[in-house]
Amino acid sequence: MKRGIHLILALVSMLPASRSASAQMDEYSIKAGYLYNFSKYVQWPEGTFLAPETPFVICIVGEDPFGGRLDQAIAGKTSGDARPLEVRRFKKADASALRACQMAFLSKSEMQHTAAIVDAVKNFPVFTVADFAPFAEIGGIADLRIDGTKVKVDLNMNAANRAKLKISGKLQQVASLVN
Amino acid sequence: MKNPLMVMAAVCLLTALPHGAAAQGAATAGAPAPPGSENSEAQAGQEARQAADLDLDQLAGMDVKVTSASKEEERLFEAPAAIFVLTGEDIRRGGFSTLPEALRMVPGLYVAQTNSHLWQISARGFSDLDNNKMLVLVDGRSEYSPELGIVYWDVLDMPLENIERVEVIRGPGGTLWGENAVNGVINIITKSAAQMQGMLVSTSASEETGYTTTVRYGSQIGQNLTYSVFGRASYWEPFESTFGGKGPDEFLLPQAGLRLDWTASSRDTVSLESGGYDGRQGSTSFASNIPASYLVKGGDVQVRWKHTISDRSSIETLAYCDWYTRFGAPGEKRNSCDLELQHSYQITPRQSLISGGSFFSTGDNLSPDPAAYLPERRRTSVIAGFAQYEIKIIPDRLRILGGAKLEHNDYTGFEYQPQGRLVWTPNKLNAFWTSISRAIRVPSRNDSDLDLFTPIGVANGEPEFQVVTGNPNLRSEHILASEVGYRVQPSAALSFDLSLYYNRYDSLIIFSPSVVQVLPTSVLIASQFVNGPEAQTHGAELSAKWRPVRHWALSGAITETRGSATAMLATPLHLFNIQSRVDLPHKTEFDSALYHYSALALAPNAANPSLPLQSVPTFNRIDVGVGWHLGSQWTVSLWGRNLQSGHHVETRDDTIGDAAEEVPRSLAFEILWRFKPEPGASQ
Repeated sequence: MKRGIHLILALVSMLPASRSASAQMDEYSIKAGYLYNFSKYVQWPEGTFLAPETPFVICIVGEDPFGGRLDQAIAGKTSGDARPLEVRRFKKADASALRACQMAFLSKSEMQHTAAIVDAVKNFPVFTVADFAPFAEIGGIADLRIDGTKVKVDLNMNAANRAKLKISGKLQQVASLVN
Repeated sequence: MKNPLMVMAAVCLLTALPHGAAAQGAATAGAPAPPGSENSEAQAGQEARQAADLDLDQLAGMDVKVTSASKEEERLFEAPAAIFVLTGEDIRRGGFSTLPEALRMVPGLYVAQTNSHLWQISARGFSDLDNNKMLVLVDGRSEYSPELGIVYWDVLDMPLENIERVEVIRGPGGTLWGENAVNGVINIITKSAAQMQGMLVSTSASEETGYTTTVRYGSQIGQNLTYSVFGRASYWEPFESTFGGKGPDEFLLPQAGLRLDWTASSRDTVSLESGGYDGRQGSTSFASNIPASYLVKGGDVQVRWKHTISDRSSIETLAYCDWYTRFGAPGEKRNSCDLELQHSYQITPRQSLISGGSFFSTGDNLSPDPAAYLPERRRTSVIAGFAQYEIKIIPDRLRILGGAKLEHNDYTGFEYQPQGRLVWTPNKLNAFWTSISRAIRVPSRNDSDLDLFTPIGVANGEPEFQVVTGNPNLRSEHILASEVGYRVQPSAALSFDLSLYYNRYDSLIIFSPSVVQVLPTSVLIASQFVNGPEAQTHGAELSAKWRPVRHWALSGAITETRGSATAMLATPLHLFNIQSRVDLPHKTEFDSALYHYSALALAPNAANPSLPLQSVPTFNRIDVGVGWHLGSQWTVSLWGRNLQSGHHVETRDDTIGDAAEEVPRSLAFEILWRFKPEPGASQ
């Protein structure tokens, strides 16, 4: 019985961390949380990775708005298939470099180059996600949109299919499907 | 009974600055993560690690941090003040066509509609058409009229689609916002241009209450400049008069506005906003009983510049000018300009300091008002400085804020407004806060300079006049407010927010009792504004949010207000509301709400004992609406409002303001169309 009581105490004191879910967070902490979750709820096609230890690469294109939060969020974590996660940054979009990313996060600074970036990777297994709407509506796979006080996901399933990415039902449920 | 203010403007601005910046942070192209926030790097990292441990549902339910109660980003949950944020989405799902109506959803606010375009909006007592104890800001620009100290809600008919959020603070905000933030601050924050890209057309039509249409377009020029322009026209139908027949309170308000956001460098963002309106209002002035159509016309331009000095320090500048002309009662021509600076500095990870200064100047010509003023034209100014220091005594557990504002105004000279606040968060599920603060209301132009001389008849063969004069020697009204609050989150789907307060008011400005003076050729019945009695209010506000299942959200609030007779003259003892939001399949929404307002009893009228203030019966407002999202571009909705009865009166006649009319049951049909072109297409 005593042991039981201790377990409850342990649970109670652990709750706050997860409870902060219903409280508030910095916008880019939330967005970093999403990026990490995408790596788990999306399945990349076979042959994407050369070797089991090949890292899962998240690329930030344009000015990095995270201020270190993305690196903190993924520190010590692995992708859905247990690969180490790695963040790469590009000042400018470069088609061949982008195709080596599993996930490409387009900063707002790249809004003007959206069409070119989408075009460069549209048939490659790159999960493109932008920091602005209506990226998903115009051919990107996902965007993170501020809706009131929340951060919401828009998802373009056609674009995901074209990139041969499998999106879990869970993610589809949470996101707004734009087509 | 009427009041003033000018000062506020100055102060307010400050506030707006941070807000706007926060709102923009979400959408400004290329802006780095909100710099200058109180979060140290380490905290940000810790939060990001927590975020990665959340699942998708939790992330989708997470609120983005806002900045208001302490003018710095902080968790709403841990804010040491009675604060509530109404989001753009809340407003959309509330089914209202105008901003003042949407404020019914805010816990602790009492919103009562007088006629088709006038509202009384108050917190913690002192409700009146001439309520002079609330401060309203739009992106930091004060909407407080120094003539009477009131807010012209009729011209705050902004497109609801342009509102990012409304932050409402009950209780004094004088230290941060300045004079006249006595009983509360309503901070309206509009969307950045980046959030208003593409084309939007929205229209709302109701045969009973009126029509409004908004057209908005936003685009970008180059990589760093976004803009948005809008036009809106509203026509509000006259309501039934309590005397029978339609009242003369129809209201036509065409308006247009512009917003431009420029990311000048990675450290500088500049926003420009401008707008104007040119309307006509009908009025049912109780004083004259003569229906008339009056001009209401105005405009503003404002620039906000935020410069990041370092990770720990940033500076914001706000400058604006506005001008307006209103005929009728009250009537005035006015132009005001304001300049504000605010510096935020994170001294150490545990200590921060915000400081700033402002200069506000306002000039008027009161000839459009039927009342006489001496002088008829006057220019006054306010100069102010403030500082607020915050220290985390125990990080994540105990935090203290202290600060004060010192100002000089042309009515009462030097004034100070200090506050101290403390918040204790034993864990992330519970927060206790308490505060003590002092705030002032400066005498209005009307309080100071009114000069009324009205023939009222013949007594004993001599002409009789009523003489009502202002008093240039008035002191400011002041309030000492003590508050405690508690927030708790028993589960991820349920939260409560409770606040209790005790306010003591001193030097309230009232009419002196009439003195009869018999002169050789006439009789004068004279009274004057004087600093009168003390008063107190106390009460409790409890609000709750509950999401029993994923597709159903409930929120509600109970507001209890008690106090001296002067404070409770037109304030109900009990307010209650509950709103239900249901997401149905096929992108259908079913929303409903109940708002309860307890009765106002028949009351003596100090200004005119022969005309007691009429009672207003209890009423329960019921609204029900259905909305459909058709594809990604169209939203159609149908709302039944005030379904409980054919018509009802919400406020009583004011001796000087407009006569109360009957709010009708109404059916409103709304269509929204939005289209966002491909970014890059404009290249």
